[in-house]
Amino acid sequence: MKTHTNPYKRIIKKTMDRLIPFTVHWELTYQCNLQCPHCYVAPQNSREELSSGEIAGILDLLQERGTLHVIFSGGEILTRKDFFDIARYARKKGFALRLLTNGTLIDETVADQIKDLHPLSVEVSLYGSTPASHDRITACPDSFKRSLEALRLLNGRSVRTIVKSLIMKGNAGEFQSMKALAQEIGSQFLYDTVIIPKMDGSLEPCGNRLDREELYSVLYPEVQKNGEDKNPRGDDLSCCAGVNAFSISPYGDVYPCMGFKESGGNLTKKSLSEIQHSPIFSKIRSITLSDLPDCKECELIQYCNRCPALARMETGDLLGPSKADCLLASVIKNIIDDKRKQTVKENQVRRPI
Amino acid sequence: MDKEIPIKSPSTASQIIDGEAVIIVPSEQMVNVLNSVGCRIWDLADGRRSIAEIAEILTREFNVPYKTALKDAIEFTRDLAEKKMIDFAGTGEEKREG
Repeated sequence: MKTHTNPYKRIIKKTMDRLIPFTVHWELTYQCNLQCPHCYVAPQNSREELSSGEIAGILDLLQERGTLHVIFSGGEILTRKDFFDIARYARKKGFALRLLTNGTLIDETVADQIKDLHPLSVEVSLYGSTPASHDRITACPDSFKRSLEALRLLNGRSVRTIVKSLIMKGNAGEFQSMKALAQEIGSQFLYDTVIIPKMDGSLEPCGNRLDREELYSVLYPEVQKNGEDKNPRGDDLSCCAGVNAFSISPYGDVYPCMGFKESGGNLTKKSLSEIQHSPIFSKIRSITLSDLPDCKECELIQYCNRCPALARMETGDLLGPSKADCLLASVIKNIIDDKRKQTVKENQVRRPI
Repeated sequence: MDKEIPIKSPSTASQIIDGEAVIIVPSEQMVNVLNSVGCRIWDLADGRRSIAEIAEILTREFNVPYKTALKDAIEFTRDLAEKKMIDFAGTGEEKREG
């Protein structure tokens, strides 16, 4: 008998082939104590969020259906008074937890409670490297101080933390200093430059996206000249949304992913199997590159991480290109090309006569 | 060793997919996949059964000699303990005394 570390990929393939919901992203609440302008959340205030009892019932179901990874996000998860009841129950069922939070509600006691959950990671949003820039974006005084303190409290308890940032107009100049800050406090740093529209269809948050020049200057130090930033999927633009992963809203609606707000059904009314075989889930799974009229011949495909949800939100067309992804792919290609040219020039200069 | 009682470490996360156990140890950021026999031992590591009792079950279910099952179960649980996937809750004697 041996333990294996490599067969994990085989397990993942199995979960995809059999539509086992291996990873579930669960937005536990849309309530939040910050007011970030780029946030995609648009709560439907007339609807009741699931109770902890309903959530426990769904966790039971997910455990039976093969889920291992559960990502709890919001809104702000810690605004739910019953958050730790839910999270402890999830751990009791054997799920691996990732917690997405703004960190502002984490004090010593909460940090102790989080440590006892043994989460895979706690991912804290940070939008600046100084109180001024971060608090301006969150519209909440002291949020920077509190988020940073949360990271320190968790790191001090050996909880793996990730600083997650969205790079946008209000903080692009602090990208490198945010990265340095994360390193200094012992957290991993992850960033994204793509801001998604609001779930009610409003494109307002997208006004904070970086333009081409800003993206180029932010990404230039990050992109490798050898092309490691090319899409590792090659020309396979499929994703796991609706295959072995999906998202659950605070109301129990199930979406192919958290960015794709077209529900396959509500878990309080329909079976998981019905939802997984709903028209929208089936449609998402059936898309192949040949179905994408603009993308299939695109020269940027090797650099592109096309998100069908984003394409749908931006243009209403599930099979069309996403403006944000096209821009990002184009900038990555430019940077790689420019770095290669620069290397050739340097080599020519250095070559002995 | 055979009287020791293995129990899943409370920090682990796990799921059984098609008879194989996928186990995550958050502190190590490590995923392990156990085959069907390993998966059964994992399942039986419930803090109530000793390794000897687990070996008896393996003998019945997998049609292997008790001696082989015991040796394998001892080695395997030791390996899992090294990887922080299980703890030892004590020994059978302690259980009976308690």
